[in-house]
Amino acid sequence: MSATYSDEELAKRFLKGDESAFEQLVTRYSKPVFNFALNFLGDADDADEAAQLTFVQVYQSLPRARLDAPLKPWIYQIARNKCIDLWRSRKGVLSLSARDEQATDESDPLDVDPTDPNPLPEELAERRDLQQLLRKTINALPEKYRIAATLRYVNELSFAEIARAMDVPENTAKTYFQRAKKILRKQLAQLR
Amino acid sequence: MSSDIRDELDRLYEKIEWENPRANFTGRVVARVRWAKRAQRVSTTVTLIALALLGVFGFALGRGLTFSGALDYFTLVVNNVDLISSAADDFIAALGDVMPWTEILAVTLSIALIWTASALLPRWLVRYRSRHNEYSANNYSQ
Repeated sequence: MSATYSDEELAKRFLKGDESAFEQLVTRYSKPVFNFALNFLGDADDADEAAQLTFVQVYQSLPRARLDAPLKPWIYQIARNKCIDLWRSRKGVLSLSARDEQATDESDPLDVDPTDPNPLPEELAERRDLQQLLRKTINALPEKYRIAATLRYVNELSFAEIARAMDVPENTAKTYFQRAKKILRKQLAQLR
Repeated sequence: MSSDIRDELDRLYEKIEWENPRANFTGRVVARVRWAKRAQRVSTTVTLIALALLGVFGFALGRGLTFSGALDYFTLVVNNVDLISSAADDFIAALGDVMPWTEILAVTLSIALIWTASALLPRWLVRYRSRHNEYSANNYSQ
């Protein structure tokens, strides 16, 4: 039943005192926000912390939020700020998790189809390598390009939503994304 | 992505898979929110107490400055600035003797308490919360 409520309706219910509406918002956005943080920070522990801090901030800031505008970019804006704070507090010592740093396979991970429902063990390893590679290249981007690329590729936001989440004009968001792609293409060419 | 022309790179990065957040994520967030509310309440209470103390000690400092004669020294130096250059040592020594140091210390401590309660305490509590997150999440889920 709860899934029928829009984000904005849930926010309004929360502001009227319905705490369960907030829990529904958390449940709805926990996975996207966690994965945004994971791809931005490259570390599952830090992603978990950033995602939690994001929702604490959402809870505290909802009474002052503009509910006439979509809530989704606003939540990502908070997530972006929390990730940047965490990233800077670690002073760039964050690295990809041990899980991601393991395993280098001789095969080209770019050829793997991750949608295969019954992968063989070697296909699983290749799929893991592909994920590792994609995350690693995004993680190596400069901050604002990393945010644009993550919001676009991982969270599949429109440029208008990315612009709102990054607090920049839409054309600037598009430029960031195009520059990110240019760097990603260069990184991948060097890896091949 | 459908409204734009997708190239090879877009198709490649669309293969990024989502991972599940850690277990009981919502429960841990709710526990943390409750903790943040409690921390905010503690911070506000301590800040209000510190402000009240500042008011009391500020009043005491004003009285102390007036009755000890320190205020007269300040009036004197405002009216005769040359006094500082001509007899600085004597002036400072005399002022030091009459200053209500206890009240000054109390006011300084009150200001420090306000800063600690409003700025440091919430940050410290959040960090403490972060360390004890798992424990409280378990309590929430029970």
